[in-house]
Amino acid sequence: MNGRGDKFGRVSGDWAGGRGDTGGMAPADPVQGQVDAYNARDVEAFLACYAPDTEIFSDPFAAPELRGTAAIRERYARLFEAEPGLHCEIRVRVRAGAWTVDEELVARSTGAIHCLVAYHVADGLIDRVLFLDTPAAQA
Amino acid sequence: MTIEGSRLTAPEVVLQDAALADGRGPRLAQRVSVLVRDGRIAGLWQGEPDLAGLRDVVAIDASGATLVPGLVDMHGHVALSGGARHRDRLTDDTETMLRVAEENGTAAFASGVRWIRDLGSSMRTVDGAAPAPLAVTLRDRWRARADRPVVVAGSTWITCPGYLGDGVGIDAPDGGALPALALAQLETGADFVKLYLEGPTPEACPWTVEEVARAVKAVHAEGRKVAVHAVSHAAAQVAAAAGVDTLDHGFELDDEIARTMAGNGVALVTTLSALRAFCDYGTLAPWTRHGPLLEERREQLRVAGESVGVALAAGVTVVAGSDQGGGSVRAGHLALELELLVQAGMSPVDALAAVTWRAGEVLGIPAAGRIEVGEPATFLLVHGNPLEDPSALWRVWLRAGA
Repeated sequence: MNGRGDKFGRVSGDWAGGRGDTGGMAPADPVQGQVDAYNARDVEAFLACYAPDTEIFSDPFAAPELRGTAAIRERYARLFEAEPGLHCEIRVRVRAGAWTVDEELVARSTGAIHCLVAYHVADGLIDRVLFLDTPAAQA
Repeated sequence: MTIEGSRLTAPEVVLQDAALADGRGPRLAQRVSVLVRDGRIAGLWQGEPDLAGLRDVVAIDASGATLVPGLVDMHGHVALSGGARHRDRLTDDTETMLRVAEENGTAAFASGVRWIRDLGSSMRTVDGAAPAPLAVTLRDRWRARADRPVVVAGSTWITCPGYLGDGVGIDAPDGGALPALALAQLETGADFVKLYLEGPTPEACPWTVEEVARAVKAVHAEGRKVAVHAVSHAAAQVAAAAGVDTLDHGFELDDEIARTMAGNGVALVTTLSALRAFCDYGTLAPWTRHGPLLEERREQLRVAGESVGVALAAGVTVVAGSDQGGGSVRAGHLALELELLVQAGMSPVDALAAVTWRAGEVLGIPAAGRIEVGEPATFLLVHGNPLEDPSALWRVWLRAGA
């Protein structure tokens, strides 16, 4: 990830890191790594991108919607099982310091969902996720 | 015999028989006494104070003076010098800015300012630390200083490319970049985020309501606030609709914008002083850029005064800042903003509230701008009645603390 104070930069989502084959090891870019794992519906690879105490927020004034590995595993294992056509396309990615903000188009059986999601990375793992316009439960 | 320090710095001191103007009501309270023990207010009486058992208390006859809460300047730039060439000063070297900041800190404190919200400083590296807004550095340096205001440090300016010049602020190439840039600014240690909503054309805000709202949501998710520079009508429209926390300047508000601000809980931070300074420089330094703009600035000041009335009529929370440093005003001149607010039609008590307790509420520091038992002693004593004459705040006699 970019270091503190770096200029932001855009990428097109073409990062070539692990695609569901991280075997529990965090990829070099955990934000793209979790997108790849999401698209592969690989919950272990997905979780490998997150810190054990990760907090995921949908409402800035409420408690985290999900907190910790067990809660994230439960939510996403269920989602990956239920949605064989699940796919996340990164439309725009902006990095600034420890934050990466993705505009995502998520294909689900109920239709496409537009999401704006901010990921905070510390020590090579995502530790904080902010869903800025669509609740995490829908994505 | 050597005597050092003010009587107010004694471990136990009582100020007797002052008047009190705390910005809560339109009338002075008379014969008020306040006991300060070890820097905190230990007693507050109207009438005869209860000093039984206090043997070493230093008594100060405060009759004829008025107790006023410590002032809150809601919009300043602690590292900038102001003046007619204030835009040129944005690129001064770091050492110069830090020296200017010390001058500003001294002047602001002497004038009674005990909290200052910094609305923008350049990203600089100091003492080998990671780049951060200078206001963050100064906040941390001054934290243990009893003779400096508390700094609430904003981010650097997040602006559209090139608008403030190279090396001043952080450029956002488009509105999609705002959330990441805002969040990254918080990582530098900034207490809140400052967005600069003006661009090359005053008729158009560089970013949409949706783009600014996303940045606001991201910052709120981190438990912080967003302040915006919104001078023009177009910028104010976007800021109000996006639900920022404070709309600073707001020189061209209309009824609709004000209603939207009230509905979205957006406070107005006035900086009429900046326009007044521009007018002054139009005559005092006519060879600068302010000279040819003199008549335009006078009209802007008139319209900006009307905007304050529009905001008040709509129920917007109105607080005040000096724009010291950034808007060319010098540090220590917050009293001018009170005078201009009263000239614009605000009641003196509301103007006083705008730089004391109401500002503290907007700032998120409930003790700021109050005189309450148990809280730190941050009050000042002035001559005159600020509930009738806001110029009384220029006549500071004593200040609690250093």
